[in-house]
Amino acid sequence: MDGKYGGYHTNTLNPTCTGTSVIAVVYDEGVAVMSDTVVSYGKSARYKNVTRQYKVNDRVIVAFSGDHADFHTLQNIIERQVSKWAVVGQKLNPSALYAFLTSLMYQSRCKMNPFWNTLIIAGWEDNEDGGKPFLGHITQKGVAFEAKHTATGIASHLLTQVIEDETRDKTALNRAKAESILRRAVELAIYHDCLADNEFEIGVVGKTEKASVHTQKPIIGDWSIAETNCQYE
Amino acid sequence: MDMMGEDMRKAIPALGFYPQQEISTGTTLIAMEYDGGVVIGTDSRTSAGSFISSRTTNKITPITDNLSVLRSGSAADTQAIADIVKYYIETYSLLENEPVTVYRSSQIFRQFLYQYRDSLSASVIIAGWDSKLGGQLYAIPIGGFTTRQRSTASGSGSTYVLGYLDKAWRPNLTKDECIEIVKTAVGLAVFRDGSSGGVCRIGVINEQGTTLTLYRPDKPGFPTVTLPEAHNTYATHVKNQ
Repeated sequence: MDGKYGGYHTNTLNPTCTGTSVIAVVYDEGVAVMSDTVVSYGKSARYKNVTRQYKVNDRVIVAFSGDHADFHTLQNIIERQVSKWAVVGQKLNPSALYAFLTSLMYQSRCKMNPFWNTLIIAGWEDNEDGGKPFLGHITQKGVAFEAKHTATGIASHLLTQVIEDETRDKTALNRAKAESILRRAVELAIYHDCLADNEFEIGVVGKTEKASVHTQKPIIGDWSIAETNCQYE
Repeated sequence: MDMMGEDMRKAIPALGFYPQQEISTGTTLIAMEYDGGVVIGTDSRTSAGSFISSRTTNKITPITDNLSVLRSGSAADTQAIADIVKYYIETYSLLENEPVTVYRSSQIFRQFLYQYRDSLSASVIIAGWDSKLGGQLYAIPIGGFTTRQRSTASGSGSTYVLGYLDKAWRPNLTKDECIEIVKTAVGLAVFRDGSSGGVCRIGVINEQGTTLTLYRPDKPGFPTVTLPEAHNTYATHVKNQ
């Protein structure tokens, strides 16, 4: 509809090209984020091999679900903001970007002009005690919270319990265990989410690992129940 | 189309009313005739909105040893119709002491699907063999129009492969050529359609009866599609690694 003068974008009231769930898990020395690489146009898998994670700097990754066009605008805004901060010598901590994005998402929502995205901010927070992992979740309305594991989209309904079971009251996770939890989540997502794809990426950022996003081997899953599945009678 | 249902689907949080999205076999059904029978292929996904409620559904419903119905649309509607028509066909064949022809079976389906067209959301393919006309396919889309086809596709995934099927079809295809085409078509549809997925079920119906084969994604033989390499998503100066 009408883009405001000087505004970034027009009202997105109907998402078109969308991304489905993002799942992220904090481990002892970092955070791992999983997202698939398909762009859905309604229920059609329209474009493949498109990333839904953005490495902001060595310490922060932003991942999204929801409208792709809105996130590409957000990526432009983040890049611009990061270089403005760099001019004054500020290298971004994840919590700073998280706070900025929370305000941005909430303000846009208040103007009835939302970014149709749910954002996951994953990073390594530098502090005097050597640093700690950071994981933040910001919804389309501007609701924001930090967590040890989180999911967006249909995965937030289906898979949080599975991840909770693997992480609660257990010894601290390492990177390999965190990634295996995410792979298990991908398997369940392809079983139960129409919009999920088995081609996916895992982004990792931590104490010793600079932020980086890597394509993973596609997961096929176990289809042995199809052998015994009978008619509906 | 019935618009009243649209309003009834809206949630009313104040009353705690959250309507469930209709369970549908948004689906891929492919069928082809060859000399001596028919080849049928389906995916195995049943969805409720974007949730997959069943990932290994069997959408090929046998009516007799030589007749099956491929179901798409509302899962409940098609199951109910298939049960009723199966009963009718069994009764007629017992009373008349001979098998009911595929043509007559398709007309019985048509009777129900046309009469109740405003209450049903059902789109089916009747596939079978009889000694009178050999292998036959009858497509009955929503509304109840019935037409015999040599090669047909139905369901949400069908739109992605109509071009492929048009190009692949030629006269006098053999059974194995048909199986390859049908299998590839299911694989292509599943690649693109969010409402289709899971395993690939292929069936061959001929004088000997019905033979069903299962192709699982985690076993060899499943129709795969090669994914092209990725380009950059963001501007070229943005590196994700």
